[in-house]
Amino acid sequence: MKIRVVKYSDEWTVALEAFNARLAAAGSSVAFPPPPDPRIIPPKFHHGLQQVRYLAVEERSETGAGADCVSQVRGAYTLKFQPFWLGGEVLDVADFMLPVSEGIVDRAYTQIAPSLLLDAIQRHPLLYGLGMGGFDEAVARFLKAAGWQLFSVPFFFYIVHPFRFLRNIVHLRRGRLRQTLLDLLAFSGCGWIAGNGWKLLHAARGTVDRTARVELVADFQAWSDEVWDAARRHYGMCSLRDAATLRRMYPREADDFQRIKVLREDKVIGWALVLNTQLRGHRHFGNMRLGSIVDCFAVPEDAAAVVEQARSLLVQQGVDLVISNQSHRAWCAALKTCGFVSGPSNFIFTSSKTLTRKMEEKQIRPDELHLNRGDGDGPINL
Amino acid sequence: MQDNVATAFRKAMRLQESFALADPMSFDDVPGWDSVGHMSLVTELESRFGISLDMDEIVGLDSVGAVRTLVARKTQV
Repeated sequence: MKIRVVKYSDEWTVALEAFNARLAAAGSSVAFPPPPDPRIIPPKFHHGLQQVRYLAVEERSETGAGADCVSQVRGAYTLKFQPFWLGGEVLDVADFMLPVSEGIVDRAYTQIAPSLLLDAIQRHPLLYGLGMGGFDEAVARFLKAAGWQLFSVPFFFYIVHPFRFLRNIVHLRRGRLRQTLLDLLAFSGCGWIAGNGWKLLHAARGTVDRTARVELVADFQAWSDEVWDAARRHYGMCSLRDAATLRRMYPREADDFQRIKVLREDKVIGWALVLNTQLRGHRHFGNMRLGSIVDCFAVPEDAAAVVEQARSLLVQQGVDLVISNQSHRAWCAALKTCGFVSGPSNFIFTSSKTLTRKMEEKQIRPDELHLNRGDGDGPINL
Repeated sequence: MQDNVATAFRKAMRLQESFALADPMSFDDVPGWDSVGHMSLVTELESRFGISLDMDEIVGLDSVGAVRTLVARKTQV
């Protein structure tokens, strides 16, 4: 078998469609999407970050008269390039995204996935991945087998409406007995009592900074550069979050995002990007109205003030549940201070050997990375 | 060296000691020889034998015998 890896271009559209069709015909729900046409689907996030799609192509030379070379796509991946702050340096790091191989449906192509990874590493050694759905998923196991570092990014939730939470939380409602118990809690009011008891307990701690205020803004302007300049040295590693990069990550026309600026007196101390989404049949959150603190930034001491303002805004807007994934210890502590509870996380960070070595050289620990749902694939499924 | 190849296989694919490896065996014949197993095998071969595999070599590892042959060639002094 002869495999070469090529950059995706329009000439590969038909071969890619055939590849996706073979996966689907074999019962796979996985497909490798061609680049979206911005005239048809306006980009919602990360549109300004360079993404390059690569295809593993098998070339078979037909023999005999009229010999021809037949090319078939057997696998694919995407690199999304983004500058990262890493221990005082700015480095171009790439997100290794959407790796798909025909090996998932046909063992004759078992070698494709390792070949794709080798190709990606040779093109750009500083690679990471984020999300993946848990340590047990094939991609996570595959990258672990390749010697990549993996750890989970903690998940936090804040229940606003216990009744709707108990009736919709899909993960906890698996099984007839569990459903009945949760319905009993919901309809008896016990869930409400427990939820509000937790909030009262949290409020009694009195640790949340209530001197800050919030402003909804249409875009990230120079004030976000000031936050970036003041805060970046407090983080071991994070993607750049200056104004220009933020506008590429969250374009102004993506108006379902709410961008909030958090101020103390007249000084901007931080920002958050939140989503308020009415879900329909979500695989984790059912039909809840979900609030998400997708992204945020501030010096660590102001993290709780930012979280509290984001949480309050979403609560005022009537969400049933507020969630966030955060890796940095200051943001994890801030979420707990603001009444959030940690839950099981299936949001996995992974770094290539070269990136891991860089992190080790700079003595950066996992809880010094600032990662959240704004990174990686971006806020999908929220 | 040949025993080491078998050991690398057993570790990468998490094979039981009782499983007999034979040169003609390919992906369908060896339990666990999927993409994750293949990646584990490549990592194991590289660290165990101090070799580095390129894409053509990774693609060419399609049988137990092909693995033995490649390791023999790459470790020849």
